[in-house]
Amino acid sequence: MAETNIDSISHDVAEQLYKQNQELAVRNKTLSLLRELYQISILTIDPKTLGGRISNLLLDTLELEFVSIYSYTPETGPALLGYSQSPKLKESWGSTIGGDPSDKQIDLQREAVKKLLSGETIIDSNLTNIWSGVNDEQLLRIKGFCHIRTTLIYPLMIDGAVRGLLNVSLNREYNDLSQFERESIINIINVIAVALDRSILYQQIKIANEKLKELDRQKTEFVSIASHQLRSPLTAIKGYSSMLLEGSFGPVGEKAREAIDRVFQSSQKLVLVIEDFLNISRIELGTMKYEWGNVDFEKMTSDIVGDVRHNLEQNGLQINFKAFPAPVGTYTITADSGKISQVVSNLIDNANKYTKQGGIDITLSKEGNAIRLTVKDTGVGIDPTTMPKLFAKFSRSNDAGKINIKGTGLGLYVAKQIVDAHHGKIWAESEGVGKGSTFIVELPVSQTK
Amino acid sequence: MSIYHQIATRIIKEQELIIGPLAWSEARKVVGLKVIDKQAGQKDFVEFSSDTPTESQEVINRLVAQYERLFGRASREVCREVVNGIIVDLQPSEIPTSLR
Repeated sequence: MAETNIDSISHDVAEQLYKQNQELAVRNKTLSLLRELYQISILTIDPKTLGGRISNLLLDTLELEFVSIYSYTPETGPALLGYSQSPKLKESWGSTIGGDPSDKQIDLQREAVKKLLSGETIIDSNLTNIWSGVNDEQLLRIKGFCHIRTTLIYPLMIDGAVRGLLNVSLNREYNDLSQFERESIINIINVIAVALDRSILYQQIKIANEKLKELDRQKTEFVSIASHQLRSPLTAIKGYSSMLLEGSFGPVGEKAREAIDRVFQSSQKLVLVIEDFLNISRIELGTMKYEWGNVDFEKMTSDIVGDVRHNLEQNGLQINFKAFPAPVGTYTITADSGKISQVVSNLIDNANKYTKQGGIDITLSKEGNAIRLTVKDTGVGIDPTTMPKLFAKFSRSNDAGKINIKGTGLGLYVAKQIVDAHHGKIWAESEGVGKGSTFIVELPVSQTK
Repeated sequence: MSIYHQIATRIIKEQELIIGPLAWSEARKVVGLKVIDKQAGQKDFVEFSSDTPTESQEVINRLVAQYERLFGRASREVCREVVNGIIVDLQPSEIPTSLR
């Protein structure tokens, strides 16, 4: 008698343990499915690939006959992202209708389906209530062959709005689904909705970005064409005003000379501005051409300093240039002479613009495998907040307005692009506002082009 | 793999998720069912001593009963649920009685 009782108790315990283990097994399987879904959603960014991968996973794990995932907007309706079908469905659909179910659309106009849009789930046993563009008789034949008993359509909701649909067809009644299957389906809906939303957002950003790039390219092309068109008449204005000043068309009175000189100076400034715009266009369209050759950087810098010295001294500024002694040829680099000369001129011109008293010290030295040009001024200095965007397009010092500096804000950007093309480096240092600035350019001594 | 092989394999694997390796030990005790120690290249997990449908159904009934004897009614429900998707292709008379 006692033995029977013990047997009975141990059997009860075994049954209880079994039930608890069964619950744990269901949770394990659900978690495992969710983990795989998360992995897919993290590693997949393209909406169609995401839809296909999730469909395959659900079909295999839950032994479904058909899974499809749609994105949805009120304007476009449902758009298929991915689907997966059982071999039986593939065979019967192919032989009955031809093609595969991805050609057909969930018909949101049908009464049985409309409630999806208000967030309700559809549980339907009749395929003909859902699909459009398919003969009912054919659908019933497929349904019979694949034993499809239930079709479930879930709205994938984000912030209360339907962003997609998940459609699953299975060969069992909904009430016959196991605990694991029911829990899994409920748990995965939100995961799929979030993954889908993220993926669609990414796609939209990508498309917007491509449009912006195209607009930017068109803008650059427009600036290039406009600048070219402006340059020709300006060359004529500059040339003829210069000839007038030189007396090529006879003597010019003092008042007229003053006016013509202004025309000449203004056209000269405008030519430089247009040259900046053209350089930007060439850089952005990738059409900037470099003519490489050996350049004596010391001589080039010395010549530029010589050219500007008079002007600077008239403004009450000192300018000094010093090349640290080095063997002959040390300061010879492989470069595009015209463009590197533009960089040096630009730095000196900037130093001049932003320095009201004191002077500019220019030094040349060899640092390892590079030669270093330093342009140091006693000017307005650079605010630390301006420093990070100093070499960006249309960037100007915050103090430019205070001291009436005119410029396009393109000079340093162009300089950086040119230095980059020479595999060099350019940067600025300043201890702050009112403490002067130092611009440094490093160019490799020799390089392979 | 015949549908009865699929059913037996599915049942044992599902029971393994709940009770661990014991599922395979108990399956080995079922008369008419041979559990194969997996070797490279082998597809099947189990073999039936007779391939007739009637005998295969009986083997599956014995397998289900083996688990039920130890773990009660719940284990029988697990067996039924797990083969739901497979038995739809069978005629009612072809479905082992323990799974109907």
